[in-house]
Amino acid sequence: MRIALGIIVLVLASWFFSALIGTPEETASAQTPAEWVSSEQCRECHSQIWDEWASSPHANSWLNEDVRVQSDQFANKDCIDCHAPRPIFETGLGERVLPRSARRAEGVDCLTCHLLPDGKMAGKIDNPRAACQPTTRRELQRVEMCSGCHDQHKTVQQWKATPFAEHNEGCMECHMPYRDGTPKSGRFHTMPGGHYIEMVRSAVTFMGARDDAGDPSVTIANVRGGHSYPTDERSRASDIWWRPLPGDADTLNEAGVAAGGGPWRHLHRIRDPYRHEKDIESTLLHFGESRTLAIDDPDAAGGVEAVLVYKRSPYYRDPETGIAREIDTVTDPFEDAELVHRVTVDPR
Amino acid sequence: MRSLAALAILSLLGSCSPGEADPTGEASSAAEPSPRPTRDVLDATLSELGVSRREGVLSARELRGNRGLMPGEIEEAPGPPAQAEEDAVSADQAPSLDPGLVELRDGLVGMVLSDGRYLETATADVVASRDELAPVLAAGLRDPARAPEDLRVLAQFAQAAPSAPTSAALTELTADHDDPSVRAYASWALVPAAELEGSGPEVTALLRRLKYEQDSLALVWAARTLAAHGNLSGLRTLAAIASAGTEASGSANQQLYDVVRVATGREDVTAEDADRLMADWAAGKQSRDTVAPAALRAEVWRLISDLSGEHFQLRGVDDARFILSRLGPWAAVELGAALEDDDEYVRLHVVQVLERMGPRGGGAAASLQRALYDASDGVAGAAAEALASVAPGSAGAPLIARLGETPPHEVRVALVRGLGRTHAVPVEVLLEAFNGAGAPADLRLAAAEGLLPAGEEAACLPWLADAMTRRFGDPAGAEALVGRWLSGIAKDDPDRAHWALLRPEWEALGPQQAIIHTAEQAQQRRAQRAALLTEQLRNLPGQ
Repeated sequence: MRIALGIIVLVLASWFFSALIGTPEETASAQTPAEWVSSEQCRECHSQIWDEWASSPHANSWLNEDVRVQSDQFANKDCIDCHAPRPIFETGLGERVLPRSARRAEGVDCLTCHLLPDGKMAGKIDNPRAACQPTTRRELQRVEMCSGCHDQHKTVQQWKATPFAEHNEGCMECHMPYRDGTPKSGRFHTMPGGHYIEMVRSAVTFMGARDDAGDPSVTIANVRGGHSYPTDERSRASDIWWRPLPGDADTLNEAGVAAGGGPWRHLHRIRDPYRHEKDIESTLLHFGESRTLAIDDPDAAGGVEAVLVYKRSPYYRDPETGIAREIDTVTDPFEDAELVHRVTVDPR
Repeated sequence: MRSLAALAILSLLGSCSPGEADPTGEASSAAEPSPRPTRDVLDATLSELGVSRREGVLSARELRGNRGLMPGEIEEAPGPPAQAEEDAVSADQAPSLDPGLVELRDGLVGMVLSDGRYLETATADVVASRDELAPVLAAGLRDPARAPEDLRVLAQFAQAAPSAPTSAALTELTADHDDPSVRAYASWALVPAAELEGSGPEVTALLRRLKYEQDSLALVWAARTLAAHGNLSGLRTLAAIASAGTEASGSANQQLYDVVRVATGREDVTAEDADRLMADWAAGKQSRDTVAPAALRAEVWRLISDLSGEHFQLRGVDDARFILSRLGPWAAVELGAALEDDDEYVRLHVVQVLERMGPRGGGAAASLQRALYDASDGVAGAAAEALASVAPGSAGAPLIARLGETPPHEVRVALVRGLGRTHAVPVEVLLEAFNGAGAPADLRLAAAEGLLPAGEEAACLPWLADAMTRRFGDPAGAEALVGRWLSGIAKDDPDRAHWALLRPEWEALGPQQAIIHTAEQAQQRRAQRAALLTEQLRNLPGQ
């Protein structure tokens, strides 16, 4: 009996002291580093979050091949401001970001969002005993955490004009959801966006129909994107292509379209042009907007297969040479784009 | 003697220079670092020059007001006050315009359009009444309803009778008109404006064209007119167009020849003369010999204000960095003064501008040396790289001194990177940083950047090869560094002949033409290149 009581006391004491000093994860690294020099320092205690971040576009913002080519290996230093920004709590929430000189390869890293000017870390809870000394900063959930970079092309401005803003559903609701749907589990740090085709698919609907006269059309609607579609980078584009419905429209190839179909014809482009492209109008699809496009072509009488594709670069590049092509010369958009949605319209 | 003549003739092209202490810009080793008091230099200077800050298209103030805007609702930035005044008299209906002069102008334009042979006669009439006609010509140039052919004739009139109002109107046309031939004519017509008292804003406007102009001929004239205004930063553009074999190549070649001919005072100039002139400009050896006009200084300070944190969008910041970094050595003095401002954004971006100026920014070396002690790690770090860029011959000592004071990591990395770019690379210091216990990847990479060209490849190539194969650290940075080093090895360098031999294989593994590799392809490419390096290291004599 005494032994059993002793065991119970020992277990209780052990639980009490462990609760007093924090969870094992929080206390894994007892020493506060003399200096924060890398997000690698966060990994030891926060491995799950670190792993999520490491697979995210944020972690890849310095290493991304597209960016490195376009910036001439960052010889164009203007790109550094957003691709390796200084800690946001240092420059100020909602303020323009500034570039940093060190740990650039980590891109938009743990320290960018969490490092406070006093060397502590912004977090959910205060815990002075943890190595990184987290301090409660509710601002972490505000859109201003993201706006320094992501409002450069007015994404946050677009969001502010949607009902999501009225209901205080900010960037995190879609791009950093809770792991199991509850605050207890914490938020995903993969931060999915335009690099995740499933995310893109959830933003828009795409439907095909025939009007009373029997003419086919497709309709795209921005139903769930909390901002314009596409947004942020002018290099993003979304195109609608169509072709006469093939005989066997049900056997799909790797791209997810009819295996035996003919060449595709361009119908519509959704994109915000670069500032030097003065002859191109912005066709961004704003939240809540629905756009119907008639397919006015005799070849469409026998039915239509139409696709909405998403591009992370504005041009269709020749797969052999990499050189940009005129859109009229492209017959297979899937060489340089991803399928978002496909619809078919039956013959008249 | 020749360079003196070149300088004298360049000054005739319209250059000038304040008494910048040392245009070659070596850092003063005597300058004592001291705590940096900061102040509102920006507003004080703008006030002194009688101009105000430019409003951003999407200002930080607006964003702090948390106002939601749809893209179509973004308000365009209002023009500068001086511009607004000019706009007020731009319409022909403006009461200040004499209807008789308007009729005269339009009659002369119609005459030339009916028969080009009347151009000389019409131009003589314009020159005879230049002062009276100036506002009327300017209004005509600003008339949005005018056809391109009308505007080209008006530009020719304005070229023959330069004036402040027409210069302002032409400057707007260079930027705004849809027809590239009008933009080209407008730039061309600004050449004689260099002689006008108070000229200057044309320079910053034309520098902006170097960034945005898509039409080759308009670009040729933007670059040529800049040269007439004493700014040679467009010469490389002229040279590139001249050798591109396009329709504008002949024109570019002719204008490049003219600039070099005037600058050297010789008729028999060669491509080497052009190269030398461009190198002299880059080295800060071409400068104004009179004080920069107040209008140009005012424009420079308005561009500096574009760098401030009050401008949210990077577009304006990028433009300002581009333009400011292409100004002559005289501007370094103004930029050095801006380093004392209390706005961290201004200080950091001004430092970046100076770094991009290179030796032309040497006049700000002492200010940069003080900025090594800036309260902001970002500014201090950027200042280290900028100091090495503007004064590579003398930056070593102040950089080493700062490194010895155990600065924060970010500053340390930048100091090491800067040291590697100085003329006398302190190999021991860099080796210590590279080999330091637990040295983070960014510090080692920064040190390797200086060690490789200093002949210490044996010390750092094994690590670089390994770094290229890692998922984290900076595999892409390591690869880019080795690539730059390999391509920079001189063909006749006997000590590195074995590395030069590696170059074709290295390049063959890279993406061909304009192909952009996927992440997996890039990883594979780096692994192959790392293996190539490792193999070569193994085969080195003595291994």
